[in-house]
Amino acid sequence: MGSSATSNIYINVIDDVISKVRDEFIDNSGPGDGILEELQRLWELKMMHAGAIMGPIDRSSTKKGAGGGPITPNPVHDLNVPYEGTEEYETPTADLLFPPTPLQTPMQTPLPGTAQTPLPGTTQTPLPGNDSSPFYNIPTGGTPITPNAYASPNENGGVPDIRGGLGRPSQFMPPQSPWLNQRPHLDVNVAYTEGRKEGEMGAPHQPSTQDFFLANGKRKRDGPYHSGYIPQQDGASDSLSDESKVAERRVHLIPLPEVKISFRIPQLDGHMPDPYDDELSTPNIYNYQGVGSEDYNIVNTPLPNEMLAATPAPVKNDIGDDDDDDETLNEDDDDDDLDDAGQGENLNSEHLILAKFDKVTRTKSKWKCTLKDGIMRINNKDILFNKANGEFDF
Amino acid sequence: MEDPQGLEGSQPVGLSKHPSGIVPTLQNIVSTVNLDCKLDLKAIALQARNAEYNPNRFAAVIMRIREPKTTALMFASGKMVCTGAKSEEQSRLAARKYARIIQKLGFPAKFKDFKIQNIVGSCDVKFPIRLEELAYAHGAFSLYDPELFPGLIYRMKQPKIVLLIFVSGKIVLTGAKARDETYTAFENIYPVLTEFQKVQQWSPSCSCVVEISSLVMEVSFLWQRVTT
Repeated sequence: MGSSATSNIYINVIDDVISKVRDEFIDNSGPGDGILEELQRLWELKMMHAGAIMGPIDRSSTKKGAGGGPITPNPVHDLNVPYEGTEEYETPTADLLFPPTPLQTPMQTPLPGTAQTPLPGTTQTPLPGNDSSPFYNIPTGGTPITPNAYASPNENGGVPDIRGGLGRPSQFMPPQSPWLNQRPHLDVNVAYTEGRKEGEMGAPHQPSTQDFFLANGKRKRDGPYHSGYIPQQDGASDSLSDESKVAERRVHLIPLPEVKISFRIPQLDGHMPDPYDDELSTPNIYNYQGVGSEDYNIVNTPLPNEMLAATPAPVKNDIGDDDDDDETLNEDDDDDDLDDAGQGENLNSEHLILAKFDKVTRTKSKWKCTLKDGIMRINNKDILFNKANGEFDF
Repeated sequence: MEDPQGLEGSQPVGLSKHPSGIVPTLQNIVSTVNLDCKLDLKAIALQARNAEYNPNRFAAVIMRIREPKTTALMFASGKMVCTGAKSEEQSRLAARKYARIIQKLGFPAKFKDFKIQNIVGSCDVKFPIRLEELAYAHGAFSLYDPELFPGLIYRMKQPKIVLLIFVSGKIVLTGAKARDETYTAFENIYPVLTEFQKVQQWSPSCSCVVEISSLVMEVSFLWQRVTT
């Protein structure tokens, strides 16, 4: 139900995030590009269902140019939907359902004898703190890398043909957003500072992931099962209904069934200092520098998520001393406010503001905040703002 | 053990216990409790709902709850201070709520050695007081420097309570660890206050009034002359 501008913002955010983490996925140790595509599909699907994105997502593909033909080489399918045969294909092949990713090729592995930078002998656009793939450094169409320099250390000839020339983004790669290349100094700690204001993108880039929803924007759950239907269950390992599909899959997709799509992939954010540490590189409004000796008596890593949800084992009052007086905090001690707030999320209309803060002050029970670049969810509507002032009573 | 009904400062209640007929109203209770486990302040600040944490400013998490309306300071050692409650029972209840919050966040919090550290009460005797004379008469206990602070600071020895006595007749009592200490202290000071009650007599105030009014008339006379 958001405005189209809001919807576009979300689409752009999704695309940007996906493109930024693509590098980690296509790494040799990463889950693979197929997983990433699924992640994106799932994400967009959920956003649509939440009403944040207005579907269908209109993506004018700009990467068709590499000889895609009537069928775009990288069709993204909603795996929740029974496969619908297109003009040329009756049954889906693994290639269609799980788009081939040339980046799985050994070219991406750290070449022997080379340093971490996979592009020896090239000048990259300096991106400090950014571990993005070489593709980010390369403007679309530009070729800062000489193919020779790249191919020479690679004896096994692992250069695939599908790459549209070294250094050039492969036809299967979604084109980079133009503003990524315009900002050589990209600080990953500061996300979306440019181009995200006023809820509007200056030049919204159209990534190449295809429209994976049906034309009418709906997803069909109860259609007849086609032979290519593979049930997609969120959060659980995929169960393959059709055994034959397994054989057709590529090697790198076999781990798919075990991957839990419920975003249990451990998220490692590069080097992002905690706000409470004094090594924050980005300029901070509140100067956390010069924190003397912080005595974090417990391990500094935040508690694992499992510990949050579960109520810890109740303290057994074996002593039989004072049950209520000194020890053993019971449910009677629960704060009603906190419990109710937790249940409020089920109502789906819980109001929410997510923003960066400029200033937060308090006088007795009156709080005043100045916020910027935020999203509000009020009355089931998403509203984005550049600046906001708030007064709260607690 | 205390009087059960809501205690207003000026309600005559239990004259056997409060011969003055006035019961001080409790305004603030400060208590401490030992949660008996080390706390990861950063984790608490990131996960808890109403938590503030600025380690460069103060080495504790400041958490607030609405009912009872209180504020808690939680330290990494596991000790907690709870302030803002209006009664001892509320302070205890609030402290338990905070401990429960910490428990739900995953720490093995207990509720050890809950203790009321300070009780602040206030009341109004409804008559003005001659502070300077009171300070003179009770020099050993009193500190009165109107340039520094408009109230007289009376440090009672038994019970060990500090009273702030103001010209208006409003009294603040602080330092008690139990409600009875507050009550006793007030009952102790009440006769002293009545002794130094500022009696409104007509003669001194009358002369003031006469002086002022004559000045006004002079000024109006002059003004009339000037403007005509």
